[in-house]
Amino acid sequence: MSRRSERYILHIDMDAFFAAVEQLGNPELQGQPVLVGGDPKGRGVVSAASYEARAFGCHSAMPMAQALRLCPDAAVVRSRIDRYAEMSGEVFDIAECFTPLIEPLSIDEAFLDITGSTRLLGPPEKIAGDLKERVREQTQLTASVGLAPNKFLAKLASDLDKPDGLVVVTPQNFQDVLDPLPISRLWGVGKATLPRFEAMGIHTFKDARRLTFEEMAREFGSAGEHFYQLVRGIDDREVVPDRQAKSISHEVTFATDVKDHDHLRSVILDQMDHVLRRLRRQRLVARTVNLKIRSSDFKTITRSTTLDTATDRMDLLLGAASGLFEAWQRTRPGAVRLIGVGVSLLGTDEGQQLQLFEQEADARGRQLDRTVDEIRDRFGDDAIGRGTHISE
Amino acid sequence: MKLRFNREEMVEALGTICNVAVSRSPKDVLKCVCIEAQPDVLLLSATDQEVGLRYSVVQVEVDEPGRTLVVADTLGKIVRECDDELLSIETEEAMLHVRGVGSHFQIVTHDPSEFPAMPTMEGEPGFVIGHALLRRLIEWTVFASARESTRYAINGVLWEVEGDALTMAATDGRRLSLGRGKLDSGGLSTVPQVIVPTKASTLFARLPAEPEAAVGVTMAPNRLLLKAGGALVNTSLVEGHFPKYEDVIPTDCDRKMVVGTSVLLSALKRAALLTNEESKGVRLSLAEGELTLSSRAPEQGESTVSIPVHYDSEPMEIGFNPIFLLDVLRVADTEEVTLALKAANRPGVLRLGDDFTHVVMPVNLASA
Repeated sequence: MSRRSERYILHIDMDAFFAAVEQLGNPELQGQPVLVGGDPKGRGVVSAASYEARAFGCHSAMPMAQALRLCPDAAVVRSRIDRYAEMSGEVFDIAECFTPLIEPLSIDEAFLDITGSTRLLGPPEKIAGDLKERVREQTQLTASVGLAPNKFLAKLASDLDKPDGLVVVTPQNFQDVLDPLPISRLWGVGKATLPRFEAMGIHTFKDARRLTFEEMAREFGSAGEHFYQLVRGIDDREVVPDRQAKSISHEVTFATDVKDHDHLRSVILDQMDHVLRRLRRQRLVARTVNLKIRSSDFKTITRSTTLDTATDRMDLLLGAASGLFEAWQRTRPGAVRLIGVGVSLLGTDEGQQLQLFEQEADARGRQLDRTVDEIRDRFGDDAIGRGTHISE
Repeated sequence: MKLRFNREEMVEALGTICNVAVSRSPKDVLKCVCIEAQPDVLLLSATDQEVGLRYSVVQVEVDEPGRTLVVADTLGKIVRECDDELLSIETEEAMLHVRGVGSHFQIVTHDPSEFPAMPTMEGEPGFVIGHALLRRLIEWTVFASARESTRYAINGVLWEVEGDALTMAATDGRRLSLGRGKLDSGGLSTVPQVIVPTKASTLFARLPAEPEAAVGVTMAPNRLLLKAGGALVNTSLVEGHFPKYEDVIPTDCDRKMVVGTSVLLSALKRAALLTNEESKGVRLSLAEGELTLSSRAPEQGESTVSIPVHYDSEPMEIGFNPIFLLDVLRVADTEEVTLALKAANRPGVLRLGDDFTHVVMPVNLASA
């Protein structure tokens, strides 16, 4: 096992994410085979298949035409990346309630190091279960979760009981879990390496453990040293959190294009609120504010502005975003399909120099933000809002 | 023009001239020193368009009065590198000849009519202040001025006359330095406050006048004139409003630490060794009788320095950019310094004697 056997690592993987999001938004698709991607005329490839479609042998990356031959009744839906990104943001927001140490792997998959959260949130198995439950409650989507002492085992675990699975791998049972697995499941084993293992008569993890460190290294070079450790469940890699994130943003695609600028202003306010909560939760500050707008003719503009000093204050960053929006709306634009705000040029607030002349305003602004955060943490996001929020 | 001069006095004069003349400029006139020989005095002038300086050199023997213009830096270097007691200069056609024992230089001259007229101080100065005090007030404040002027950061030093006191203040928006001193006379017929550009302020502090020399100053709405020793300086002013500095000097600091200036200076220098761009802050942990400074530079290391202090309030922690504190302590002339604090996110006040006050904002500390 790893030198630090006390780590608790979660791997969360959303089940058939794109297809599930589509089924969520459309009752007619629920319980039906759904293929996301390509276009309905049968060109392109499948980017996601619902579990109902998978039962017919359909899977992602398969040509759409082939998938439709396997499952002629499947509904084909054009993928809406904006919508998936938005749902993904919600899932990540939930994950952030359990630990700040989150390493996103893709839009629907992440590692969480919850070692430090156990004192506050209970045993690791409970945290894993709570995470699944919160995701289901808030998004009505299911996730498969693996809990293990390291990243490699956690990722394997989440895949063992899909969909809606929760598999716990411990220092006691990991060998039993690993032994029967086909060697193709080993991280880094692909089309080139698999035949070489098979040529040596190695088909499972258990087989692979016959090889000495020297034999592995001789056969596979530096990758072999890595394989030697992984088949023994050893993986010391840390969860590298989103902390080094270059930017945090939030965007939304409207079901119908929006012309009402007051409505857009209230959406921007909501989005900035959301973004800054994530920012503050990670104790980050930002200097640059970005605004992205896609009009109904699919033309996308992005505008940004950079402040003199980095901050996490709603009034200052929203002011900057509003300035960008007002400049844009003076160009007499048409209806808007998508709008998003984000912040970048991030830094930690540690070592941040405080300013002399705006202390009072600064202190008041910060106190307001902090109080709102606290109320929401206790009573939920809708418990309190800004005066100009328009609830839908 | 033909004259002889005492080289040492000239070295001093040209050194000051070179602080004003611009070393690189498309305009020749800004690189030059204007030399004007009158029967019993030699006037040297230079300008960078913001600051104008006229310097009177008296240890001269003028044979032929006249006026010429040469590159200040060139003449300055020649006069500095010679070791004669006396040097002579003479214009011949378009060249200036500089002669010492065994050396002869010819420098290209420029048309002196291109040099702008320099203002003179007419009548009595607005007020008079001792040179040593003026220099001290500038040293106490100028380091805190900003490189560029924005709303709260001013690229200059505020001079404020009230009764017989002169107050100087400078701020870059994160710290404020404040010095106060008593005028020798005057302060009546003068504009009450002006903002003197940082470059001119530095020049004033460097003028080669005797410490006890009386400096005459006239503050006008758009310029300030200052006469110290042989130098007469005219500077344009920084436009804009100096922020209301009285408002940011806290009056509610209930935790006071008193420490030897050199002890704190040395400790800060050590603690600052392990800070870098990302972690500029030094953590000051105050406990009864002891101050512990700690710092951490990611991927470099950490430091801890403890020194004895007078402190008997509740323990507290606050972070400061060590450079800001070092800047203050380096110009302090008291044995002890008092640091008054309220909270980790509130300004700290350093008092270094009755006349020198410095307000500095902390930096955020990592949560422990």
